[in-house]
Amino acid sequence: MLTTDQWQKNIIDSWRPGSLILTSGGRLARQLQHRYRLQQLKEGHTSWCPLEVRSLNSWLHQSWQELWESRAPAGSWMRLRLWYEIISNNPPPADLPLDFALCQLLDQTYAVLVRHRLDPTEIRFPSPLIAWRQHICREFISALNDLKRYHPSELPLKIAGAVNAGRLSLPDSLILAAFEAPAPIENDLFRTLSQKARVNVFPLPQDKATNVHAVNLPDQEQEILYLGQALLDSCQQFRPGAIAVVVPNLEVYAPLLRKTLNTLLGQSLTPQEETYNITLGNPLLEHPLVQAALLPLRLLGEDEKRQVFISLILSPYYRTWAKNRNQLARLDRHWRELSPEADLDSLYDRAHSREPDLAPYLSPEGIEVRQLLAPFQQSRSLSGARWTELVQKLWDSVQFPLLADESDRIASNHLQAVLANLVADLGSWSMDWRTFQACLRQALSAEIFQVGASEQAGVQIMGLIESRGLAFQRLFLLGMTSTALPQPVRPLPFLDIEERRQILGATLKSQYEFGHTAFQHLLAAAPEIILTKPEKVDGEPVSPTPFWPSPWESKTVNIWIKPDAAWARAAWLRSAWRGLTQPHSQEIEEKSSAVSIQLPKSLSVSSLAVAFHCPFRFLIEELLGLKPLSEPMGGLRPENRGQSLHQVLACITRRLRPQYQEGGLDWQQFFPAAQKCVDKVHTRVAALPSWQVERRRLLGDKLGLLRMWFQEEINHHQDGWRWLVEEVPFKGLHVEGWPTALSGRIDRIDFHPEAGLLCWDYKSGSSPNSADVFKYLSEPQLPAYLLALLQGLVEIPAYPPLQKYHFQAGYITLKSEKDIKLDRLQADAERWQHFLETWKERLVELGQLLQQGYFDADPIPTAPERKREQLCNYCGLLTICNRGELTETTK
Amino acid sequence: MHSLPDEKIRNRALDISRSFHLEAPAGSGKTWLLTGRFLGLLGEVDHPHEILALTFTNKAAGEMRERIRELLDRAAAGDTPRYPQEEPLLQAAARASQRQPVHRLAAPDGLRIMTFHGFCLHLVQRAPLEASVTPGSRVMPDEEQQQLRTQVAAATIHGLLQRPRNDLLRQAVENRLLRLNNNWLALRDQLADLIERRDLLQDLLTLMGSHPDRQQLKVILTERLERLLQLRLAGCSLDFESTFLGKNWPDFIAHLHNNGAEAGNRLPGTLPPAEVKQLEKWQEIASILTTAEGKPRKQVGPATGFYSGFSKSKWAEAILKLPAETLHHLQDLKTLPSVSAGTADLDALYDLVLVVGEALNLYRSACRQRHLLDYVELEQAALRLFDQETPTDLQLFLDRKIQHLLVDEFQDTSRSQWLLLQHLCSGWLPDSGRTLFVVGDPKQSIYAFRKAEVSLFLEAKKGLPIPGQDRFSLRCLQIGANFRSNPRLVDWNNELFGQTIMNRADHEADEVPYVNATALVEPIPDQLSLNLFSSEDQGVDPREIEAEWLGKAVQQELKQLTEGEKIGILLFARTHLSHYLHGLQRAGVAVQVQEGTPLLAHREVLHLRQIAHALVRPQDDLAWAALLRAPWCQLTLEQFVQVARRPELSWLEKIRAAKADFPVAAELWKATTRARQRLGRDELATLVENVWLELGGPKIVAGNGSSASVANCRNFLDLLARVEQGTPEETLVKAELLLQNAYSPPDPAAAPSPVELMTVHRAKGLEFDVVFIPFLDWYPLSGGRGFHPPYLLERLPGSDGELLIAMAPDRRRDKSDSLYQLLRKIGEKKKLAEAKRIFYVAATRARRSLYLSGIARTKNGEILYRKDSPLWWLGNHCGLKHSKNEELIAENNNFLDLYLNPVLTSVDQDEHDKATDLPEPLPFDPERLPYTTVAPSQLIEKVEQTKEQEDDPNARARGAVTHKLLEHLGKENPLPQTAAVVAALISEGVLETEAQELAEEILQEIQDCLQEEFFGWLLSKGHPQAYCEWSLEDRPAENQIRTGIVDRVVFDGDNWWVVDYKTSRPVTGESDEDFLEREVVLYRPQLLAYKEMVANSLNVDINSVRPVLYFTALQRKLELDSSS
Ligand code: SF4
Repeated sequence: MLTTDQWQKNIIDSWRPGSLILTSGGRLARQLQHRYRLQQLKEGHTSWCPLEVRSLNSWLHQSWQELWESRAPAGSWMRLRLWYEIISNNPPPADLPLDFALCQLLDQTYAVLVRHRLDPTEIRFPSPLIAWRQHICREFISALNDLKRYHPSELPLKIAGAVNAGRLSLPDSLILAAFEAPAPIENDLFRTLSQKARVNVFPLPQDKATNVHAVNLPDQEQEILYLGQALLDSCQQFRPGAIAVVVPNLEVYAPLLRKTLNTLLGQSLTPQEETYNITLGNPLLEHPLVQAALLPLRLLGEDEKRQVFISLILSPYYRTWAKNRNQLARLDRHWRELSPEADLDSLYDRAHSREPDLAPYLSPEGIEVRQLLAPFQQSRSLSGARWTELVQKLWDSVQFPLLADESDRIASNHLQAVLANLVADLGSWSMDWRTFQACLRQALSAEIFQVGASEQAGVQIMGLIESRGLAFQRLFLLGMTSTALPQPVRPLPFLDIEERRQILGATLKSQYEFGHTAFQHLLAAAPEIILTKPEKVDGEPVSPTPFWPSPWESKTVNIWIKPDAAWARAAWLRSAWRGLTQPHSQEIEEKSSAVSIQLPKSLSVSSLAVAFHCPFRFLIEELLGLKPLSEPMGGLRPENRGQSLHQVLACITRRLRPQYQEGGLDWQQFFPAAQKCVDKVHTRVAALPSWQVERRRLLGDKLGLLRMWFQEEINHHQDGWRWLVEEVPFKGLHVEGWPTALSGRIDRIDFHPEAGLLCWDYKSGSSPNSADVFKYLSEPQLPAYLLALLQGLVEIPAYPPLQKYHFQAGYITLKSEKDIKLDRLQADAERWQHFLETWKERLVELGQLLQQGYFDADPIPTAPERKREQLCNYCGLLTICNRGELTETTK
Repeated sequence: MHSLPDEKIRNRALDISRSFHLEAPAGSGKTWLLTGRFLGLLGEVDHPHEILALTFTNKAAGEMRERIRELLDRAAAGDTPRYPQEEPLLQAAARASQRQPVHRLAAPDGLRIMTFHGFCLHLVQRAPLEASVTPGSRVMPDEEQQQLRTQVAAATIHGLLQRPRNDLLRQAVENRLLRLNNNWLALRDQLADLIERRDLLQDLLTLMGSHPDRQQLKVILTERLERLLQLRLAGCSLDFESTFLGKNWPDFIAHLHNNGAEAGNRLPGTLPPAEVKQLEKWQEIASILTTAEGKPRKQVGPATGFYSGFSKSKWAEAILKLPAETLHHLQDLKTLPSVSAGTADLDALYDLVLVVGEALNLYRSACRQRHLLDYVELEQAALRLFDQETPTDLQLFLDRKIQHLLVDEFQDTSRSQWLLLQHLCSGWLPDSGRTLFVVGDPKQSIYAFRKAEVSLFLEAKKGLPIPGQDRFSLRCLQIGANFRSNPRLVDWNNELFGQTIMNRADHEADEVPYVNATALVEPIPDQLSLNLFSSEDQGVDPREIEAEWLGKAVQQELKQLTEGEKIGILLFARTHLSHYLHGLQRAGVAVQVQEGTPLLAHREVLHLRQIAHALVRPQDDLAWAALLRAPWCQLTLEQFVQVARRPELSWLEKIRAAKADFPVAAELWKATTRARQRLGRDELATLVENVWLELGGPKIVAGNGSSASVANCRNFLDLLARVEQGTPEETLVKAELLLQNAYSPPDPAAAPSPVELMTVHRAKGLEFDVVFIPFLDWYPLSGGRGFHPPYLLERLPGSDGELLIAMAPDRRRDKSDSLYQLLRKIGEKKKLAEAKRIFYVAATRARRSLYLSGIARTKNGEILYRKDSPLWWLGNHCGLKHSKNEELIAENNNFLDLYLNPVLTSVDQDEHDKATDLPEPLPFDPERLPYTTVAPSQLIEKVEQTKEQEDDPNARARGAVTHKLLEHLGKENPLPQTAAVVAALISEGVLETEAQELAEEILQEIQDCLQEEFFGWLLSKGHPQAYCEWSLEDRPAENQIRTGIVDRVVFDGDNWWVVDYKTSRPVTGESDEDFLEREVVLYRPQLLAYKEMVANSLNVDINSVRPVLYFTALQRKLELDSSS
């Protein structure tokens, strides 16, 4: 029975100089050419007449050139532009954004109809949509005529016409190879050719291959694992180039395949060392160089400006910035502090004011990102050529692209080619910036990028169509499920039901027949064939292709339990295996290992609070100054909000104290004072909407947080308390046995003739409760303030030394109108006294540990596990302290 | 064939000429019926596309398709039935195969068995414009939807805040922020959530539309609230009137008056009608007759409005005798809001609707621009098709009219899917030959979070309501035979759920009535036990003990398990997973977990993630510092501090500087530097993996953990590869987003284990020989999304999907809104009802044995279990008690074995296949090409181009077209028209504006050449031999092929003239002589190569071959002297 290999041989044998072989695809043409050359070399020839073989498309194109017609085929962009203009004048029967994808779809529909010899302007099935399509197709045709152009899909018609009219000289004889299921338009062409020249047709062989093995694996992942093994085994028997993998759903499998083959075979180092060649490109738009190219343009429109900007200045493709990437990256810290919607101006202002030494990096060679974007910001209409020129200029000015390898070079040339086509087709078309950007994106996603390895050496991986007519020694057919072969019917939304019935691939029948013949040909393509399929795809069971009903052998692959010699090539597996078979415990040293580090002479109470929470965190954040990047967030940052609230309260108490001491608090004076203070504190941010909302939160339309607070203060006042002083700084607080001096600032001190002094700490969020202060001893602020009082570190003119009074302390919570509390925690001064002693002991204990260099990753040991876990879950240092694994609450 | 208790009903359900509503409980072989019916129809219809079977998951669709395909194949192969019930299926399959051509049955989309969403997509792809969806749109994966919603919500707030201060929308967004205490993130999440649930808000939003009207909103909500109150009142008054007190109310009031009781004046003389305006009177009645806790009032003296001595009266007794149901109603009344209170928060709602409206507009346009769809939009787009199109056009999308509809798992239908069904059946008439077959089990409706509304299942019993016509009537059938479980289990479920958990169906809470099942399988030895762990001993966490017990119990069951049997451990909530996973691991049980604990809960992943952060962000000091503390670097704390205290500013620099002192730092620097050099060019995942490998990551991870830890790391790398965006920063941001919902993959080493751990939701549709249900004390109302939502949406009981909405109290203030409370109660009742169904689903997965376990507090002999938990329901059913001798006993339990704090000893595990040794890697050598090809022209042309391009941007096009023209002439054709040359130039990329002039230039140039002597001779006819564009190949050296095309070769009888045309010309300022000199140097190698090739190919003396360059611009020939 005829095999594809024999079939190819017959074609070459039947070729004579002067005759031409036409193939359905370029790949077959190249394989025939290669085979012929090998034959010449084998027979020892030093010179020979080259084999005349072409794919139908290239022959059509070349023939058109020989005709010297005055009508040129319309380039893709000219067509899209025409569709675009026509649709904008004849909007579709639905409120849809006019975009190039729609134009592309219409152009494809037009081509499909032409290829099937159906008239796009003929009315068969009147529905609003079809009527619309027919109307715009009419307009499209007349627009093409006006421009003396035609749609490239009509080329076979034109060539057939020329052949008929004897205007095209044909070779003595033609060989047609592998033209199964040709479209009607090709059929007509072949008919004409056979009338005018000797045509010899070589239909692809079909075979009931004898050596076929069908394997069923649980899922795609295992299918690929299996393929990896089988390929490596095959490479022990055949040269890689004689092995092929054909995949009907190549785009689904390609990423998995690439990953596997890179792991097992490595990447091809063309041209000398071929490992594998996968004939599936990706849209040029997805290439990192092109992504980088678009970054400056994206900065003009998109929401996620921070990400885009950082990607731009850290991109390796812009020589201007590349050398200073590490310095420029510091800009990110600033942007994270701003709101995510902040613009470049606020970023640069902030950077200039906070980090002047960054200035030279911000405008290298005098170029700053903002200037680059200026030309694009005005909303004006320019010709396609002009926009292209501006974009090019922008790139040149920042020395884009900085190429590193072959892939970059190819991508860069493609990019240039795309721009050139745009200019050629749209050069004179005037459009706004957005439209141009849309064109550019569309063009880049339509262009396919591929770093081609050799088709003649290395394992060959391809889709169904490219495989047509190729011959191999061993063939793997991957993903042979009932949903991949036959393939599902194409949707073709712009065709009516009648048209769809006549289109190949638009009916169950045609898809089934196409799949069936394709499969039969594949069976002839190699003497040994292995079919594989997954049992389930995304958990959904799938049955095998109906074209191979014979039994499938079920297999599972588990490289952990039954490691295999092919996968033993995978570096990660080898490494992991060593770990598994020679287990070792390399835990970070146990938590109590000492480090030598000097504590600073003085420490703020807020730093001390961190030490009380977790000594390790204290070491990292407070002593070594290592903090996580702050997360970008919208609205106000809690810390800014809290700070401003503190200032507002201080301002109010300062203003109202005189009246307060005498009479008492009255609302008349409160409102103006509160307003003045808020405005004073908010001066710099008054224009920012989030702060305007904050102002309303504080002053309120009806209530407002400050009013509620003031109400509490009135009650407090009625209990006999008086505001004494606010924002009282202290320093040099010493506790025997604690190594450093402490400093801090007391938010407010109140006075009561009997009860004495009361230190307040303002909290704009939740306040610690008495358990935190008295039981877990995790909150050092209040005790530290009281000690500062006792040690006479706080002095208030006109008051006797404060330490002679009783004292107590508490929190003023100002979370929201409903969460306002003046919480004295513990009214009994003696208890406070007693507590201070216990607290000092804890402080000294901690001090000794820290001095000896023990910074345990052990948050508030006295607190319940849940609380401790919470602390860890909100701390970014876990990968440094390596405390036990996080719990689910992490989420 | 065995006869089944419900055989008649099953046979009726297979009658393909009728429409049915079939209730089929768990294990009743519902799939058998669906398959049978589908095959039956296939044997009758003209085309399979006349049948549409809709399911809710791809898995269900796939399984059904496979089952049908398998039966068709077996029927075709003349296979015999494997069990009696299979016979009719095979017969139907045989009929179908005869009726339908093979391509229809075998094509992937031949049989329309798809999910609702799959079907919507099918429609929308075929009619994108009619559905007003951008053609080629794709459905976003869940995480992408979530990301887009959050982005749009943020952009909305930002956009609105930029508007002028007096702008309505600006004020609305400010008010929303204030209400949330100016918490920006809370508002963003609230909006994102509402975007997701926009289909529920649809009626409100459409009403408010673009011209929102506060008044109109008030009217709608007031009217809806009144209807709800009305409903409650009606229930209450109806019930109250039936009591002795109700019947004799006037006498009761008269009695109070006569005895001067103050209540007499407070209570109405006659029972008020059940009208909303009478609510207060009813509430008064309730509060006088019952206590605050809702008990009948015992203290009936003057203090409570009665008179002393009233307690002796028959009326007091009547109060005490008020039935429980009546008391329940009265208590319920007390909490009902007045209409005014219920709609008090209207302003807030109004603001919300305004802001949401804006967010939705932004969201839609974002989706359209990006050609994306989410599930809501997909369903709505499909519905739009039906709104606008006439049936004929529907035909256009569906190719053929749907004649028969089958819906599986009908209990999970959502409102929009319900609408879609109505559209599909619109115009259907009874006995028109078209049939609808819906099948499901309301007791298994557990997808409220996916908007499933079990009430629709019950509603459909009355037939499918179709707008503008009568309901499409469905015959209701119920089957009860259970093919799955042990009789003991089936009876136990009947008793537990039938008598207690599902004994009364409260429709307002979407509770469903229980239908008994009858076991068909033979009894087999089994286990059915409750294992309770008490938490009296504060020292140990009873959950730990339960987990440990579970591990050992599974171990023991594994010993009994026979080939092919499976054990399922089913969890009520994913968050329970970690407890038990540890227990099982401690017991050394290999367990398959499809989606395990969060990926970010694994330290190895956190460390790997830091590699990605450090590579992408030189500014991220923490990430860089963390690299040094990763298990694969192992810098001690002491060394770490030394590095930290180096003077360099950034940690990246510190590490670079620390290379000299610490070898690990040096290795780290080497690995990361290599990766950073490729950053932005190669995929981030690849670079991270390379660094990890170079540092020996897999070895360390495997050594510290197991294959599972390595699998976690690979899972992270896969995720990173999946989200590759082309720029590292964007890739990282996207990855971080996905990581929040990423879970650890199954442990590859546990793959062959028969033990599976999963949530009940995942287990739906599966069955296991042995099932463990731990955490029976699960409290369904705790935690979870929407526990304290900022607003509540609840369907108006008995309405057609109309909603009531209530705003959560203002975060800044305490005011609690009673409508909010009311809706919250309704919501909670629904949640509990669903929890009962989840328990049912879990309990019915078992074939042979069922182990239940949980925690209860025992206090002086009493068992106190979590209210409203499965354990509580079970406890109420059995009347669990705590016996003197520390045992668990039950008052009413004939089935369940009870254990309190059971202790199991662990049995030794047979090692599951442990890996032996890693074999030697197979060799592989890249392949060398058998030959290389060289083309003499290639290199040189590049140089020529670059030189000339600067001078003449059209040089390449000019060259190409001139060559074509000369070839044309060479073939003895006349010169073409200028227009043709223009066309050729344009297709070579020359601007239309420049083509005409260039074409004339080129033609002129060629004319001039023809005038020139040599050229004229060269192209003249009658040479003994001549070739144009002659292509040649030869082998200049071993394994080298030279290939080229010579422009012109002419034999004059003595010499072979080999001519290469050159269209290049002197660049500006260059003299002709200099130019020619440059060109000769440039082209010599090419021409000499041609000379050799021609000589080889013609096999003539090389000296007879004379290479010539011909310059068309100068009309000059230049012969190359090969000797020089
Ligand atoms: S994660 Fe926990 S233990 Fe580690 S530093 Fe942070 S708070 Fe301390």
